[in-house]
Amino acid sequence: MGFFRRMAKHTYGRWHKRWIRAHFQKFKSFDNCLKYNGMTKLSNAVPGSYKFVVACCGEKLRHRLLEMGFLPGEELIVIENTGHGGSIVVKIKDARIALGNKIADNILLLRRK
Amino acid sequence: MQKNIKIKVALAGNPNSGKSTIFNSLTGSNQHVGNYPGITVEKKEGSKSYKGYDINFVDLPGMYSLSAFSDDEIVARDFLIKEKPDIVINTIDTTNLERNLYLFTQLTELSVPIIMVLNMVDILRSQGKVIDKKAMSDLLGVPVIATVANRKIGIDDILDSIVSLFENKKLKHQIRAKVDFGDVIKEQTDKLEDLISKNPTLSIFPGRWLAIEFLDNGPSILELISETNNKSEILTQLKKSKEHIKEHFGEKADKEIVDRRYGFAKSIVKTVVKKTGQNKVDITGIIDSFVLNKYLGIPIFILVMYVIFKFTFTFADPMVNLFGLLFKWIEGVVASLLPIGPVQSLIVKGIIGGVGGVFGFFPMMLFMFFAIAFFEDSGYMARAAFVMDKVMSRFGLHGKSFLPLMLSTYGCAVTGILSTRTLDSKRDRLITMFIAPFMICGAKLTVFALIIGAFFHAKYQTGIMVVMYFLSIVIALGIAKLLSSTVLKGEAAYFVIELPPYHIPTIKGLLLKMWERGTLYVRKAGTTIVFASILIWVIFAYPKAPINENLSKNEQAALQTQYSFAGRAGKILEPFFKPIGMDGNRAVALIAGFAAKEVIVSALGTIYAIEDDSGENLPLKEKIANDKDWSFLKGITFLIFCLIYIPCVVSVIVFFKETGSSYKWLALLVIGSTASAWIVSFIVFQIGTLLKH
Repeated sequence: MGFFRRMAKHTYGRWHKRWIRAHFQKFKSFDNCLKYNGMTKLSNAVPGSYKFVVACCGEKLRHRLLEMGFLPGEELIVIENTGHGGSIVVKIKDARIALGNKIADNILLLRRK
Repeated sequence: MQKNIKIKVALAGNPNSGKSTIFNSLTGSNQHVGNYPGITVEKKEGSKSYKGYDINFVDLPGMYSLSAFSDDEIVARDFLIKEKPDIVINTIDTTNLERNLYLFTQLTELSVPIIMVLNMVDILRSQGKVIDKKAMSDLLGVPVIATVANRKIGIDDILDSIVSLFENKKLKHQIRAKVDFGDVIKEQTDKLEDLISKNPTLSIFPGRWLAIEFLDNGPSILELISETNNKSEILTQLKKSKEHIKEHFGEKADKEIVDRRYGFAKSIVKTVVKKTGQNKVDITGIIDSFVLNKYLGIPIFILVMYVIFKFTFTFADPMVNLFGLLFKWIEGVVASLLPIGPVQSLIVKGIIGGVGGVFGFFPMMLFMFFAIAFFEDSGYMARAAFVMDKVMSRFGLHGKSFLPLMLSTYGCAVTGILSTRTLDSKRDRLITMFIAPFMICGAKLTVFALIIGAFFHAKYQTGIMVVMYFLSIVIALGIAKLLSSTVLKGEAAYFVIELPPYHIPTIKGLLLKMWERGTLYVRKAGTTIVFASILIWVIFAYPKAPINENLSKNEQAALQTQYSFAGRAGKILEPFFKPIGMDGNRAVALIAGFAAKEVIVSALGTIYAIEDDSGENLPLKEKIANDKDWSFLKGITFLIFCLIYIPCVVSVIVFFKETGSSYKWLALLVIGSTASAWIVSFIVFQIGTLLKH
């Protein structure tokens, strides 16, 4: 049985990989995928106007960000991005807020035309 | 009217909403700072008599919401709920009205009378907007007062409305506007409220607020449930309610609640704020484009630090000298008043000498605090944390950790340790407190100046000093890295801080802040310094050496050192210090350095008093330089040992208190630092000797 299970897993694994390749090959990477969909991570954002989409982080921080006004769809201006592990300054609801790189990596923004 | 009825007033508001400035202008200098029991959050209280009332103000720590997140916010929330102030003043930064109103929407649910104070109206006007106070007051049902706290406008209006609100019982329940959460959420909160009212421990809280907070998933509010008896009932109902809301809206309950609150705030902003003119120049934006710049940020930061220290040293030096003279004078007066004997020796040499040595730094500290308060109040410190976060996060530290380290570099480790209170997470605080004593503080500087002066040509002295500073930073950051990757594993608290708009701080506010911190230092250190200096005096003065008439005064002093407990301990410890190139005398000096690092210099002075035969008044520096027992390598090893070994007693005690009396950390600091100092200097000394041969 163990053999069959291993075979099944192996086949599924290959199939899964091929599925991913088929659907995401045009993007090459996650960042490209975001770019294609008009989105960007906050840590990669160049200064400009964006909309906040989502923050993937712990419950506590998520709640804090919500209270600070990081609501989905909220307008947000990236003021300064020091890049390469540095922090980012954004303006949201008239407040300037500095975010560390680690959080900024987990925040998605929608670019505004 | 009855006289002197007490009114308890709490000031609540977002961080940077100008709460402290309003507090200062309300109370004047009539305020004092204490600690909330158990935790290290400062409690600021002040009072004012006005129209026959004693109004007692409490300045709560700044908070973004009542669903408390950090220690500060838990304190503020508990104060509002448990101590039930008569009136809450909600300070609001009008330039950021929407987010400040978010806290207001929560405060209204607590059913306490609120006075809304609109701050920084002038900045809003310069942005070309005005607020319709009357409309706002009518809409919300609370008195609204506009102030420019920097210039003391509207402070009397606040006092007037406190009194009238207190006298007028009807007004108290006048809050008209509350956030409407809709039928679906209302239905669920009603159910929860029912359960809460049955519960004895939870029913002290306002039911509706608590029910919404439960749904809102406030991190610390859920801890309240665990203390109660019908806990499981509430929890199952809560889970059901959350699921119901999620099913209905397709969003999590807390998001829905925050959304509604912000919707409410937004609608108020829309009706109340009117645009009148053009937006003038955004000064904050212009300054920030330089200060936060990718390339200019760090140079500007270094420049600002330079300005702080230049300011401190230029203005504090005469004061420090004056203080020194003052203590000398007191010493002289006391010595002439008391008869010669052990009592005189204890008071003059033990207490006044010891205390004077440390308090001599007091004016310098005041100037330093003043300069730092200036940059804090003007809004630069938050930017500095932003600039430094990149460097600090590499070593597992938080961006705000730079301030304690900087304070202990140029001032004293004690102030550095005390200033770690600005850090939110316990882990970051511990690491920063642990490494703060390893920086070169003002006291260590004297030791370094002596030894470097003795062994290096004047041309290289500054260079070596810079190398030593660099080395201390490397050691401290190395320890931070080590701690964060072993004992205190885990991520540094995420770096989210608000950058307040720049404004010119008031002199009064700065002076108050300076005084407050200065006295805190004196109180913390004062008691221990007196105790420690008596102890040091005892171990150096007893047992007494036999008095030999033939010896000079200096020789007698040196003999006394050898006879004393400290001298004997040095002799015993000599085998331990031999491998790192030190004799018993230097061991004694180092042990004495535990009292305060400056003592190393004075102890060496006493020891060397005997060892020059040629006798003339050579400076200590040259005596050391001429001594055969010292060498270049031994000097370097001595310095490295000084750099790492046990911090002075005051900082150890403050560290112990600030870690919440943790013996584990105390032991790690004391034993760990001394052991590693020995190991490092052993390696340096042995390799050095090998290279020489």
